[in-house]
Amino acid sequence: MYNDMKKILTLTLAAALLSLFQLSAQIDRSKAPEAGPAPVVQLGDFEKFTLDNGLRVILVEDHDRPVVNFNINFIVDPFVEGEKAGESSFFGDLWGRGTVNRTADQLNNEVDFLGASFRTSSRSLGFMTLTKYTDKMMDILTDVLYNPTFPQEELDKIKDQALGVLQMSRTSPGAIMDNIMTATVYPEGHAYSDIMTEATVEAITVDDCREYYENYIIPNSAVVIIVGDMNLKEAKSLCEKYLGKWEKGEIITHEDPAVNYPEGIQVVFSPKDGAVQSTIEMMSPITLTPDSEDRMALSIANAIYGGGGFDAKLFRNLRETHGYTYGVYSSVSSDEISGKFSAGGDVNGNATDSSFVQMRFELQNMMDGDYTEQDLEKFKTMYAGDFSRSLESSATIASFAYTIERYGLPDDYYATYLQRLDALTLDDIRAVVAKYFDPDNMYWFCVGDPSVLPALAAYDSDGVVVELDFEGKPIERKEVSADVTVESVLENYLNAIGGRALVEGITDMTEVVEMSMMGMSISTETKRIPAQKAFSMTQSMGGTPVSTIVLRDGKIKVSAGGMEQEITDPVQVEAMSDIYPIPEVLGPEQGYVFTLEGIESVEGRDAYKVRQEKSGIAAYHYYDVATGLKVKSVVSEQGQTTEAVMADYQKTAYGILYPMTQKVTVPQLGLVEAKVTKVEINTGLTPDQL
Amino acid sequence: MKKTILTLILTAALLPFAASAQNVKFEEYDLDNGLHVILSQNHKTPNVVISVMYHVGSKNEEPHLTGFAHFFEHLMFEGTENIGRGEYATYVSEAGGSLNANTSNDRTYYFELLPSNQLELGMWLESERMLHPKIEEIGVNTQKDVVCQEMGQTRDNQPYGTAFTKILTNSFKVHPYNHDVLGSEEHIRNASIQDFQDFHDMFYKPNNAVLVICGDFDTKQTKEWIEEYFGDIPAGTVEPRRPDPNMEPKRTEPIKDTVYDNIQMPMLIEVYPAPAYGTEDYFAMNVFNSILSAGNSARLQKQIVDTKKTGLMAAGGVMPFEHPGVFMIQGIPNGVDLSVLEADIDAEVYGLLENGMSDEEFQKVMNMVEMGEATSNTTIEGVAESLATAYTYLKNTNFVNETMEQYSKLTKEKVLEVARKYIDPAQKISIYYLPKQN
Repeated sequence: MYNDMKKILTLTLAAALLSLFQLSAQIDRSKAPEAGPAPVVQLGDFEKFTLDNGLRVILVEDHDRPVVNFNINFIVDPFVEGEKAGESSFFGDLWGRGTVNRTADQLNNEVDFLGASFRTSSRSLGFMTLTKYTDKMMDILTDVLYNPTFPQEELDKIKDQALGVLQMSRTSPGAIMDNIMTATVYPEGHAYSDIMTEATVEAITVDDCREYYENYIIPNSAVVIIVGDMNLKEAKSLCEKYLGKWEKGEIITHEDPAVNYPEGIQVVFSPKDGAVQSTIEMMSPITLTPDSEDRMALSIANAIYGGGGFDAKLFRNLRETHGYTYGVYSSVSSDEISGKFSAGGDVNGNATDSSFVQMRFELQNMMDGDYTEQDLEKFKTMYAGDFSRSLESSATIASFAYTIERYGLPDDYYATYLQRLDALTLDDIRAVVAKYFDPDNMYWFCVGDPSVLPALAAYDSDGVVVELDFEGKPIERKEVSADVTVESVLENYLNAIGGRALVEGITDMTEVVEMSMMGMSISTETKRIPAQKAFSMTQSMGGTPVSTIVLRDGKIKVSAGGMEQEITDPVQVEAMSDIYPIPEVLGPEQGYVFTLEGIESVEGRDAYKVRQEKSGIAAYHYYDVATGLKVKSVVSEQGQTTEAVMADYQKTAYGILYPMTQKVTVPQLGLVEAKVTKVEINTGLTPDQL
Repeated sequence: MKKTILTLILTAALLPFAASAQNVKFEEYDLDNGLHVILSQNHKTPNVVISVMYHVGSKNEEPHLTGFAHFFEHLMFEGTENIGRGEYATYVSEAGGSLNANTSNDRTYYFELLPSNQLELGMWLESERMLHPKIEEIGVNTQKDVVCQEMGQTRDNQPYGTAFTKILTNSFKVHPYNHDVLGSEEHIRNASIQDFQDFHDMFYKPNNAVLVICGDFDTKQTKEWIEEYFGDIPAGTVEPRRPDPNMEPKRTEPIKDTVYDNIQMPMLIEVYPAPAYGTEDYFAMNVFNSILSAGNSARLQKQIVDTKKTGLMAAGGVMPFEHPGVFMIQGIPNGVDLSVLEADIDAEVYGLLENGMSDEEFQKVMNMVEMGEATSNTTIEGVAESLATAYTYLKNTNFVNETMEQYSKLTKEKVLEVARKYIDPAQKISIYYLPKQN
């Protein structure tokens, strides 16, 4: 205390002297002014007490505003959800949707009326309110805490939403990346090995939510955090009154098997057909618990390498020097069970392997000590500024107190933060770099177009690339037998739908497809006359035409929303010309190049995968190995991938088989089922009828 | 600085309101060159924010030179006679601080957050760019590329990215609110150094700006620095171009506009005229909107989303414009045609207008207002901007302490009386966003 006072006095004196000096001098605009003496950063106080049932309470008083923030945090040892992956988060969502005394509606109404907010999750329960309504909100909070009903119809709503999100994440590179990392790093039986799928969502019941509630919502593994307009006496009596009789439970803990560390460079790949960009991560698990003394030095080392944004090595190399990407970053995370170090971002597909090479190169530079005292000082100053500014919020003090409590850190852990930061030396950085970074033993995860894989595979230490699907399951590669060629696959398909002669005999075709999207019925009518190089497509919504594209006489006319546009540039016209109903009969002379890529599974059945290239645009088609029929197509346009699964082949009047159902996966929207309602062939269509 | 305020406003408008905290203490004065200064102390942490708000936004631009205010938001980071290119941000980050800027239809705002012992650095940085920013070929060309890329990223290629532009062009035929903040790529590309220099001379002058210092500082020292760094900057000599707030004639016919965009979900936007920020009517319209839009129990949420299930979301907002502006309601349909959703929303809006609200509903919104008051302006960054905005728009800095009083003067009847002036079928604009096919 005395020392503090002395320090403050000295500072004040120094400041006074400084200002005297400034008064007599004319300012010099040619250079930045010097900083004054470093200010004293003081941490706000917190108070702690524990109820008889083991419930710990942390209070950070803040009487500036008549507001109370009340939160109960539950410390749950992560466990395997397995076939019920998603149950914890479903519980958290369902918890606040009804009690024996209040429906979900009534809860909303009461909270809104008070101008308050209320939240539940699998690990917390809390509210924010005006001080004067604290008792009313405690009444609501304890009703949810003690009397939840977990209504089935509310769980159904949550499931529907989750399924919608899963549908969209099938094609989301970020979601696929999470899944392949999880599947690779965490073995079965590890708490972090869960991957939520449609099957696990379907399997979750209200009883699972109730079981979670009974196992983990207990006072002796919970910490209450109160921030705001309340003193210690009030906090004690409030907690005693509302939470004192809450019964203790048994704290459940789990053991986790060891995680899988990479040996050498291990490439793990998930194909996303047609992706222009690759999503990449160079990653390794690390042992870094939240109480580790290495955290601060490692955080700075990571900032120098890739975490420091514009000033980091990765950003300067991959974005500024090479232009491989818009942004690339690295991160270090601590965790009681398994921490990790990873670096990556979205990079141009054709720079996928080069990006990994540069990330590894910069990590090797870190190993070789390619950083300076200035780098260290720069990030120290930035960290100190961020820390000091974060103290403005009382919630920061509360989160410090909670972290200390949660991980058993020394009580002065944050009070000494700036001292510890200031004391860091280059030797400290060198020590953590040597201990945690290992450029030669890393996973190289990539979600991208299959064409980027061969170059990437060359870097794999044992030459065996692991290929996983969007849910992290191994992709089985079946050998294509020697007598199968791309020609035989396409010929088989043509035979299956009626034979090449019949297909080549098509002179015109009209097709209507209908689908329902967001409650609107959308119908698309396509007309094609290949020999005349003519086609048209009209899209109608609720019966009203909204857009038309017509190709005639080498020109394309687009009309939409009352606007007309004419495209005459031959290259563009060529790219947009979709004049062939069944392009499999075509070859290079019409601009179509097909290559056989292997066998993959479509809806559980083996299918040959064929790459089609036309005007520089790639599409992928899949043909059932057994029936020869086309079962799936994947097309990417402007970075967005649309997938169609075809089924229900039926004979048309003309004689060929045609798929009457298409399940289309549209980006951001999910699955839409389309029905073919009309196929007419050789009706004598002429270009002026388009 | 790389992000416009546009998206922020759109988000903010859907919240109940940005009420202001009571009892922000400040002092204010003018320098001889006309620079208005506001000082507000807060010693909670040893940090300080220094900010300058220039009273220039997209509404001060000429119709053939749009996007200039936003362009200057970028250009003013290019450097000055004493600060090299690209060094502006480095000075701040190496001092342990952070900085940003944003532009709206009405004003441009620059700020630095710094440890309190670096306040003089902030003075130097802000005064340098007020005194002699570089408006030269190399910086202008660099920022032309950056700004045009930003137009592509945030407006032209974003789903619904043109929504705000559509709202403005439909609402204003005469008033310069009719173009958006980003403006025209063509105008920016073709603008000459002289065009930019002229714009600068008209607006980026001490007599068209307010300097705010907020946080942990010594008042005496700070005032001395302000005089030293800003006192000598010459006042502007060209009268700033200011449009007449009431120049927009009243609409007499409703407008329907359909936009085909790269989107998957259709969207409905209804637009009505709205009172200017901070006026008596503004508060009443906010309450009217809150009955419809604020919280899970609001009418649009209850009726459209929960009961009729014709919308996935429906909510409105009053735009905080300096001049009379817009009130808008946004809706995303849930498996119905947009016209069905529109009819359902209108039933709620006009039903409220005709039949009024219950005492309980009114009290609920007042409780929400009180909560908003209590939780606003919690940071020195937020307080600085509130003070700057109150002075710039209303020339009444103490407005930050008067909002609760304004709300408490309202009654149920008064709210409806005001809403009837603006919610007028003849002045309604309906914008349909529909998915573009191929």
